[in-house]
Amino acid sequence: MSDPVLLVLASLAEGDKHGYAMMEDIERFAQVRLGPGTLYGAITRLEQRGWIKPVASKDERRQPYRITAAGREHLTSQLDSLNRVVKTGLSRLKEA
Amino acid sequence: MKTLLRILARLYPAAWRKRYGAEFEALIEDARPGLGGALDILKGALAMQVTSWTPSRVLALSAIAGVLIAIGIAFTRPPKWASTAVIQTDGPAPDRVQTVAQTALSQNALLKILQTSDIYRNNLKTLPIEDVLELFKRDIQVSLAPGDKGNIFQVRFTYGDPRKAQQVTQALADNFIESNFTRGGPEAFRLVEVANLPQQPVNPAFSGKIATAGLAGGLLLGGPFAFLLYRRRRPPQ
Repeated sequence: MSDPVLLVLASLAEGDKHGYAMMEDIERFAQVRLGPGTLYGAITRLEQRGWIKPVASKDERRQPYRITAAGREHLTSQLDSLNRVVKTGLSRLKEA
Repeated sequence: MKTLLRILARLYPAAWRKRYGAEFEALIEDARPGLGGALDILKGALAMQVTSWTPSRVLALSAIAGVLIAIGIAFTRPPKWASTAVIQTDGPAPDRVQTVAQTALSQNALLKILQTSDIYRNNLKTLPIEDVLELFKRDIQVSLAPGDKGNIFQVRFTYGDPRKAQQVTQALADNFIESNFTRGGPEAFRLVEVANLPQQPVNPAFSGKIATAGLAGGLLLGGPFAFLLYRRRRPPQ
């Protein structure tokens, strides 16, 4: 899976993170290193859609983000759909 | 690398930089991206620029791009020069000129001019002689002089060298006069104006027509995109 929007949401589902922390976390759990442009493209879209929001921080330059209720809902629906595809694919591979 | 990354980060739209600029720079400092990261920033900046475009900006940019491309293409075309010679006939020109042209512009007559004038040298290296003669014919125009009573016609030849254009036009005009004479035509052909040496190319690198064509082409290509953008951004009714 390499959709940056889902990767960012999945990262923030664990807790608030700033850009670099998200980048490291995503590399750990998905083995995907997002470039700064790709990461902030996803952050911009997610904030515009109301799926994440900035949260107050002492370090103004390292802005943390939090997943919103709408963001959780979207992530759940996307992962459910992905889960169905994975389950179907794996069972068909076993049958073949 | 740091400087390059900073420059690339400045390619993002101003409004975006105002909101995310500081934290984006902090991320670049922490992540220290290499060349791949630099390309990712460039890609992100371009994508963000495109999403921030308004329909009117798309139209303006496509119009400007159209004009620039048209001028660019015009500059790559080699200039062509047209020379004209004018011939007068004693009687009505149209029928007689058509008859005489069969001899004056025959394969043999054109081949002779081709050999003596040293024209289409590059084409002769790559194309069969029949095809080069076809090219030669396409660059020759024989027409009635504008506004005339019908007894004056002009021979015009267009070529990439003004002196060669003049030389060949004169040879073609001489061919018409000689052919009329050898065919025993009842009306004499007289050279009223010798072939001129053209001063301006017929396809200037920049002209209003070229700019207008580029503008129209740019608007035609950018118009549908601007319309789609307008439809997409229009608030729901």
